[in-house]
Parts: sequence; C-alpha cells; structure tokens
Amino acid sequence: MNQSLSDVSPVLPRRTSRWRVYRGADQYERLLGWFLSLPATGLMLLFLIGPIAAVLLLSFTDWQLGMSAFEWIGLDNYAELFSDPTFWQSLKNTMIYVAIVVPGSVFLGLGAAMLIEAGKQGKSFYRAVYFLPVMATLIAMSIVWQVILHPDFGLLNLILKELGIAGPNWLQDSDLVLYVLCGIGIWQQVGFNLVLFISGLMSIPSHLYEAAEMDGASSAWDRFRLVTWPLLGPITLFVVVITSSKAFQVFDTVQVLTKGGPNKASEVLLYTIYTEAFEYFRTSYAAAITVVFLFFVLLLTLLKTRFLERKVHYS
Amino acid sequence: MAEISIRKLNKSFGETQILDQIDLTVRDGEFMTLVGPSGCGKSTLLRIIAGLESQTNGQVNISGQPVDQLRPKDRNLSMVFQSYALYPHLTVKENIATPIRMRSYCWYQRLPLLARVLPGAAERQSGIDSKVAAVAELLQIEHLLDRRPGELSGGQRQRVALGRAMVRDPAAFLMDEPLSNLDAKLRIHMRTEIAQLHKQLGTTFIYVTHDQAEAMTMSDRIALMMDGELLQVATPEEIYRNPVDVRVAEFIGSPKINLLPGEVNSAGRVTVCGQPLRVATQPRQTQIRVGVRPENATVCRAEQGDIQGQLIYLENMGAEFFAHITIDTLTEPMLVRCDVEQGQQLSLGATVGIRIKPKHTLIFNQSGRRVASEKIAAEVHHESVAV
Repeated sequence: MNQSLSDVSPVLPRRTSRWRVYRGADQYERLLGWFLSLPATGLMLLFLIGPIAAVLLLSFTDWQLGMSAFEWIGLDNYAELFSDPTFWQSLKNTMIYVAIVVPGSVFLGLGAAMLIEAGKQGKSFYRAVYFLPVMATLIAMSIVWQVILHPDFGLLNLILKELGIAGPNWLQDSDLVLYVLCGIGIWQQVGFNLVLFISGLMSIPSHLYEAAEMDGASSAWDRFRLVTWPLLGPITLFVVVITSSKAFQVFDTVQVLTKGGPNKASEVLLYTIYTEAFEYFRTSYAAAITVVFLFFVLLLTLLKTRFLERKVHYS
Repeated sequence: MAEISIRKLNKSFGETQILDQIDLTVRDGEFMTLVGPSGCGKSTLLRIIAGLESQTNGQVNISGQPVDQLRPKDRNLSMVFQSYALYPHLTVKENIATPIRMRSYCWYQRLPLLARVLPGAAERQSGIDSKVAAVAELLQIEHLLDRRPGELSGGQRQRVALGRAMVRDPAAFLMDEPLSNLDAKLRIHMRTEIAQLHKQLGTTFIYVTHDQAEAMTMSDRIALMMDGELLQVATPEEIYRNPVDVRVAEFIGSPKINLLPGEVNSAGRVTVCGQPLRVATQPRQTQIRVGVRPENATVCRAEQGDIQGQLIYLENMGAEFFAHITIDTLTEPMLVRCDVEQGQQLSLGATVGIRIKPKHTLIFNQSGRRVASEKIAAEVHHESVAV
C-alpha cells in the first residue's frame, strides 16, 4: 500500500521523503507488534519452553532434590545412563509397548468403528460401552484388572480352570507381564480411537461408495481400499499420533500392577523416571532420562510432519 | 449399447409409494430424459436401474436380460452423479482410470507395490494410460490429468466425472442431474456438449433432470414423471404440443402455459370467461381447463379479442415481449407473447383483447386429462356470434 502510494507520486524528491516517513512508521509498527505479543511470548517461554530448558540444563548437573548447591558434570549423567542396563531394558520395554499398543488399538478401533457404523441398531449403545474405559480412571481400572488377573482367585484364571487350562501368574511371569500390560493398554485406548474413527466414517459422503460400486469395487476390501482408508487419512494420522504419545507415557498400570517387575520385565521409561526422581531422589539423572524420552516424542512429531502428513490427503 | 426396459416397477419405503407401476422402454442408443419436479421419484428410478437401490417389485432388463439379481458392477452401466463423486485423494488420471483398474485387475494386481513388479504390469499400465489419454483428449482435460479434484472448478470436475464414466464401454450411461451444480452459463454450454457426446458415442443415455429446458434441448425422448407416476413418454416436440395431462402441460414450457377455467356448452363449444372460443370438444363438460401457451395467443384491440383484459406488465426479453394481462374473473394474469414492434406500441394499463389460436388450444377435463378438441371453421364462428 505504501509503495503504491509513492509510485503514483509524480515528484521524485517528495517520494523519497515520504518513503522515509513510512519507514519510520514501519519500524514503529514492528516494535508495537513485538510489544503486543510480549505476554503470549512470555507465557510460552515460562510454561512451555522454560521447563524443557530447565530439564535439559538439570541433566548436565549433579543436583538432587533438596540440595542447595550443584556442580556441572557435563555428560556424566548420560554416560551413566547409557551404561545402565535398567535404562536399556526400560527403553526396550517402552518400544515394545508402543509397537504393540499403537497398531493394536488403531486397527481394533477402526475395525470396531466400521462394524458399529455398518450396523443398524444400538450404535450409541456400543459407542458408550467402548468409550467407558476412556472415561474411567486407569488407576481405578487397574485395580479391577488386578482382581481379574490374580493367579488364584482372579476371574480370568477361574474361567481358564473351568476349561481345564492352568492359567499362568499373569503379572508375575516375566515373559508375559509386558504383553498383559499391552493388552490393558489396548483395552483402554480402543474406545477413544473408535469414537474418532466413527466420526471420520460418518463424514465420508455416501455417494463415493456408490461411485465405487459403479466403478466395480464390489468387495468390501475394494471399497475400503478405494474410499474408506484414504478418506480416513487425516483422522488416522491424528489417532496414531495421539495413541503413540499416550503409549510412550504408559505409567498408571505399571505403577499399580507391577512396579516395573518382575525383574524389571515391565520397567518402562516413565516409570524409571519416576523411581529415579521420587524414590531415589536422583533428580538430575531422572532429568537425563526425561531428555531421552523427549527426544523420542520429538522424533514422533518429526515423523508425523515429515512423512505421514505428506501421505495424507486433506480434502 | 443396450435397450433398457422397465416392467411394472414399484418402489415403496414403508407406507410411502415412491414409484407406481412404471413401464418404460429406453431404446438402444437413445437419449432418454427422466424429468419431473423434485421428489417425483426420477432419481430413485435411475438408482434402481443402476442397482444402487432395489425395487419393491417389478423388473429391469438390460439388452433383454433381467438384471434384478445383479450387482451394480455386473450391470455394465456407468453413472455420473450430481455431486460428481470424484475420489478426492486421487488425481484426475487415477480417477478416470479407476473403473478399468477395478474391473480388469484382480486384487493382488492392484496392490500398491506388488502391482509394478508383476509380469505384464507395464503393458497393463500403458493400456490404461492410452485409454485415459483418449478420453481426456475427447473431453479436453489433458492439462488437468495430474491435478486432484479439489483443484478443479465445477465444470472441470463435471468433465472428469464424464471421463470416468466413458473410459470403459458401458452398456448405457446414467446421469443424475449432472449439470445442477454448475452456473447458468456453463450449464447451457455443457447441455450442448453432453448432447454432442451422445451423438459421438451412440450409447444409450438415461438422463435425470428437474429442468424442463435440459429435457427439451437434449433428449430424443422425454419421460415425464410426477408423484411416482410416469405421465407421458414422448419426443420433446410431441410432449410440448400434445401433453396428455395438465401437469405435463404445466411442467413443460417456459414461461408456463396459461390455464383458463372454461366450460363446454351442449353443442361442444368451449367458452372462457363466458366468451366463446373457436374450439369444439366433447359437449356438456363443466370445469374444464383451457391451456394456451403464450405464443398461441396474440394481443389485439379490445373489441377484436376473444377475451378482454388489462395490460399490467410488459416483460422485455429483447427478442420478444411477454404481456401480462389480468382478466376480471381470473386470479392469475395471462401471459401472451408479442413481437418487439407490437410490444413497443402497447401501453401499460390499457384494456386489450386477446386472440386465442384455436388450433393449438389444449383442453383438459376435470381430472386433468387431455380431451380431444378441434378448431371450428371461421364461418361457424360468425354464425355462433350472431346467435
């Protein structure tokens, strides 16, 4: 706008002087812009970037909760961390948990959503029932699971006993425990994913299915590949990201049911952070694990923006 | 290429009867338009032909074979949807290729990665490419092939939808109000294009629209539907000149036909507003309606007209005028076409006469059915005036 005004001016000297005036105004506006965004920037620094920076700095010190002084120890925390078998076990367990819970709850959620949508009756009933585990606190539900999975009087083993199968000690078997936790994780997450997928399915226009039918996509699989799956792309991406970040943060069930045991077979990152920070009070060491944890969350975000988002079609 | 015939077709949703005993034969290579107001069941009929909906009873035959048990895919028909129904995530090229891909490949040949390494993949792909290219050339959308539907205008999407329907040789094309989402100018343009496309392809077209102008300009024959009933099937000319029902007469033609309440005396002479016309029909009928199209009446001096009225409005269309004339006993004004010269001479508010051309006057009885009528010779007219 400024430029176009000066362009039409026929006298050159006036044009330059006017230009200078506008530049002054431009600068003023820029300062004002910074000034006006100050509260938001300040809050963001304080509440979002600040804590992360603090954790990062803390991980380079030997500070422990309650100490009045600390020393910079460089990468010592990380060196200890990477030579600590508990950390590697914890990282591996977390990865296995994510690798099972994410696809499990996404595909089960999608499958159940399609079944419910295809049905004629009781849609809202099924939606509500599947959503119950999401609404209930996982801590409280974990207690229920503890009762169900109890080796002697747990419901599951009683049923298995009726069928003539000797049920294992689900939560004390180091080969089984992680997968049991995965099962509970999927159980808890499916309802959330299902509700999102149902809303996604409802937004697919029915004439696309009719067009697919005319075009020769007669089997359910063909229609899924041609219409449902691509059109659910944005929802699926969202569900995968949310589920992954939730799975990375698995904690409640571990804390209530296993305490990372037996023999660290269900030790996960967040639980390790918790024990180091609040049981052994090794705050700076816990901070180093947190940094590693944040690295994986960042990696996930990068994966989403760099790779997945390109594959997804937003109509 | 196929003849499509529909026998005693009924469709009801619960208590509501959507289609009532439809009998219709669409000849091989014919452009048949199903026209009617919204809710008349024309789209339902088309969807039943396509196999997207099932009839309550009755039969659909394609090329003499009953197809009622066949899925849409196996009926070998193509459909163009009102909303175009293009796959938003696929490019124009992929959209057009979809019907061939779905039909000629089995499931593993369509897998994303495997498809490329299977034997014969290259030939298959080039076969598809050449078909898509041919269709794109015909529709002049070659430059759009790599875009997605979201980046196209309404008219371009329309062409892509046509392309997807044309890419394989279907027995017939079904079109469900394909032009209703376009702006007025483009709609008129695409009307011509689709009609030309039909001539080029020579395939049977069944075209659904609520726009009588589309029906009149494009079709070989029109099937006019109302309230789930098929009222008349005829050529555009026939349906315009000889509507069998007052609803047909009202629906076809713009501006609308004038319907004047009338009576028939014992001699069979038709009178309107107490004035005799030079039209004879079956005697002794009351409450008939006399249909006069705007071009079948002329404005004249009051004393020369069959009926008289007051000119309240003149619609200047450029090439012609439409005179709106109120007649005392009628609630709606009568529309009469005049040429430009006459239109310019008329003055608003004047009392004018309307002369009705007896030859093209349509008489409908109490229940709305058309009854035969004929022109009374001029001498008879004089005599009766004397009487």
